[in-house]
Amino acid sequence: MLSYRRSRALGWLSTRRIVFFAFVMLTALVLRVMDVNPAVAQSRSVTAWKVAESPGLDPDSPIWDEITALTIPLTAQQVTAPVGGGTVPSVRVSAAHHDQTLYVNIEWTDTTLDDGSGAPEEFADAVAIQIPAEHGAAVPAVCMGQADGAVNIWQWRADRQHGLDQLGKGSDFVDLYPNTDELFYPAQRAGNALATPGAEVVQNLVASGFGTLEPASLGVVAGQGRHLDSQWRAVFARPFPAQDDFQPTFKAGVEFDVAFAVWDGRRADRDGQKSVSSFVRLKVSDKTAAQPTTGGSEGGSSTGWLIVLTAAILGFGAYAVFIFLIPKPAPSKEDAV
Amino acid sequence: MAQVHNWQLGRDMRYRFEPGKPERQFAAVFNINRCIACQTCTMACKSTWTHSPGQELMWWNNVETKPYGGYPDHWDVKTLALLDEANPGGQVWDGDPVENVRAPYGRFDGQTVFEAADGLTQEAVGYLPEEREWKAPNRFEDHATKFPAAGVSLPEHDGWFFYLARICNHCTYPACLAACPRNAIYKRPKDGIVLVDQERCRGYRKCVEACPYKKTMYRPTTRTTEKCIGCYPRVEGEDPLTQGLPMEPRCMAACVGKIRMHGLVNVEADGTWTNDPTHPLYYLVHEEQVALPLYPQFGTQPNIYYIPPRWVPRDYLRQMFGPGVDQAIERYTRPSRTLLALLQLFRASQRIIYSFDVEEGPKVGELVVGGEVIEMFNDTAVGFDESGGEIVRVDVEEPIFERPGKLNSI
Repeated sequence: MLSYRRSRALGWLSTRRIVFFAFVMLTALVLRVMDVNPAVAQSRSVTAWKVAESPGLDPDSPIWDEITALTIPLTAQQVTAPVGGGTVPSVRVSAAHHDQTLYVNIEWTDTTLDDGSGAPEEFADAVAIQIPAEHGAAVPAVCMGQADGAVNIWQWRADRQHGLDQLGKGSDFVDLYPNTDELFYPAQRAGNALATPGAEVVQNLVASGFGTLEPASLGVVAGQGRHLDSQWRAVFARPFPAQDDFQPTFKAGVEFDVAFAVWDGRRADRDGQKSVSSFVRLKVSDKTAAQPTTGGSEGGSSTGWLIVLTAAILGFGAYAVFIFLIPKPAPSKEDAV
Repeated sequence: MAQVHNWQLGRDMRYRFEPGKPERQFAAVFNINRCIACQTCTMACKSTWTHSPGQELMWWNNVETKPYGGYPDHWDVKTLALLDEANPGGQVWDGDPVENVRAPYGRFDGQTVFEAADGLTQEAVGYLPEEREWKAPNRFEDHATKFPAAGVSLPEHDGWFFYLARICNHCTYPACLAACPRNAIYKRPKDGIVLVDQERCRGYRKCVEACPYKKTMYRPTTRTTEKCIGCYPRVEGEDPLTQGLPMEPRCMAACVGKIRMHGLVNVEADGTWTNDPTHPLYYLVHEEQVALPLYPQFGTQPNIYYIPPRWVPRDYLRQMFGPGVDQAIERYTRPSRTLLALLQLFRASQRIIYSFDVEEGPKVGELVVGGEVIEMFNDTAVGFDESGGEIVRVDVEEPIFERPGKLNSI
C-alpha cells in the first residue's frame, strides 16, 4: 500500500518538478529581458556624476552619451481616485551635476507626440520628478507625500514647452483680440501659474497629500524636452541650494530619494491617471564619471544575471521545501482503490 | 463617502461629501411654454462673461432645440445611454407625485451618476465631449420630429420640437465638485452658487467629464475650466443699478419672452426647501408642482426648474423631467388664480423677489380649455424684496394703450 502511494506521488512530483523549474527560469529570464525587477527597485540608485562641462538643457547633449541610464519600472497609479496610467512601462534616468547645479535626464518611450492642450479632449505628455521636501527626515508617502512629510515635485509638460517654443512666432489671438488683457483671464489674474503665458516650462510644486498640490517658488527649476523617434527626453536642471522650505538642498556626496511619474496625453492621462515609480536613491557623487560610466550603480549586466541566478536558487529552495518539509496528505479511499 | 437626501429622487443617495447647508440656494424656474429661442439670454451672458480668447466655444447660457439639438452635441442622450448601460432597464420611478417636500415625485429606483460610477476612475459616470461637439451650439434649430400634413393639435402634437434654455444648475450635489481631485470647485455657503477656484484649477477636466449637464467648460488659453458664475456680483447687489440690493443674473434679466423667474430659496439641512408658500419659487415647485427639475434621475439635485411644454409627447417629457410631468401640464393648462397671477411676475423686475402676494380683482372673462370653462380674474401679483418692501405689481390683464394716429411721431 505504502509503496503504491509513494511511487504515485513521486511520479506526480517529477512531472511537476520540470514544469515548476522551467517556469521559474522562464520568469526570471523574462524579467531580465524586460529589465523589470520591482522587488529590487528600491535598492537601486541613480548616480549624478560630476561632469567637467555643463550638459545644459539640451536633452541630446553629448555628455549624456557618456552616462548610462538606469531603467526604472513604472506602474499604474492605483492608490487614489482617479486611478489610471500604466501604459508607460519604464523611464530611463541619468543624472549629472556641474557647477552646483543638478541635471536629470529622463527618457521614455511614447509613440505619439501630444504637446497640445488647445482642445477640450487634448491632454499633453508630461513627466515629473518627486523629491522629499525635507532631506534626512522620514521618507514621506510616495503618493504625493503626507501631512507631516511634504514632497517637492518638478513637472515638465509638453504643451507648456510647445507654447514657449511658439512665443515670438506670432499668434492669431493677438490679432483677433487686440484689446484683451489680464482682466479677462480670471485664472491668470488669480495668480494661477499654469495660466500665465511665458512662465517656465517646468513647474516647481509642493504637495503634502492627495489633492494638495500647490505651486512653490517660481524660476527654480529649468527644463527642456524633445520628442524624436518615439522617444521623449526631458532634462531638468536645478541649482543645489534650496530656494524655499519646500525643496531640499543638494550636496555632493549625499543621497536623496526620488520618484518619477509619466503622463501619456494620448491616453488622456492627467492628475492621478499616470504611470508612477516607487522611490529610488539619487546619489549626488563627488566623483567625476569614468568613461563610460553607468548611471545606475546596479544597472550593469552582471546584476541581471545575478537576478536570474537568485531566482533559480530561490526556485530550487522552494522546490526542496515542497518535497521534503510539507507532509503529504493521507490518501483517500478513492486513491487506495 | 456620505449618504445624502435627494428630495427630487425621494430617497437617500451616495455622494462624495457630507451635505452643507447654504444660507440660501440660487434657483430659478424657466417656463418652456414661453421661450421663443431668441437667444437674448445667450448673448447677454456671452457679452458679459465669455467674450475673450479661449472662450469662443463657451456658452454658459444656451438655448437648444429639442429633441435633436444639444450643446454639446447630444449631451443628454449620451449621459442617459451611459446610465442605461450601467443599469440596463433599471432606470425607473416608483410611485406618483404627492405633496411631500422630501419626495414630491415618488421614488427613483435607478442609479444616479454617482451610484453608477466605479469611484476609482470616475466619481460620476460621464464622458468628455470633444471640441467638435461644442462647436455648433444651436445645431438642429427649429427641427421638428416631422411635419404632419393635417397640422397638429393639443394635447400632444404629432410633430413637435421645443426650446430648452440652459445654464449651470448650481446643483445641491454637484457632480463637477465631486469629481475634482483638487477640490478646486466649491459651493458658496452664502447662496449655493457653484464656482471653480481659478487659482487651484489645473485643467484636468474631470469636472467636464462628470457634469451630466456639461456646464463646466475648458478654456485652452488659461488651461483651466470655467463655468457659469450665477452672475454672483449681481446676486450680491454689486451692480450699481439696484444700489446694493440683490439682482437677477444677466440671462434672467434679459429674457425677452419673460420665461424666467429667479430667486434665492431657504433650504433645510437635508437639502429640502423650507416650507414657504409665499416664496414664488417654492410656490411653483412645491405648492403647485408645475415646475420640475431637469433630468432629476442624474442625481445632482439641479436647481433650475422647468414648466414643461404642454404640446410635447408625455413619454419624452417624463424622461426629461420625471413623473411629475402630467400633473404639471394639467395644472399649468388650467391654472389656479394664484398661479395665473404669479406667472405675470416672471421678468417683471430685475430685483430678486423673495415673496409675493395676490390681490383679488374682478372677473374679466371666461376661457374654454379642453372643453372646460375657466373663469379669468384680473388679479394683481405683487412682488416683495427681502425686507418685505414692494418691488413690483402686475395685473393679469395686460393694459392696452391706443396711440392716436395724429400724434404718431415715429
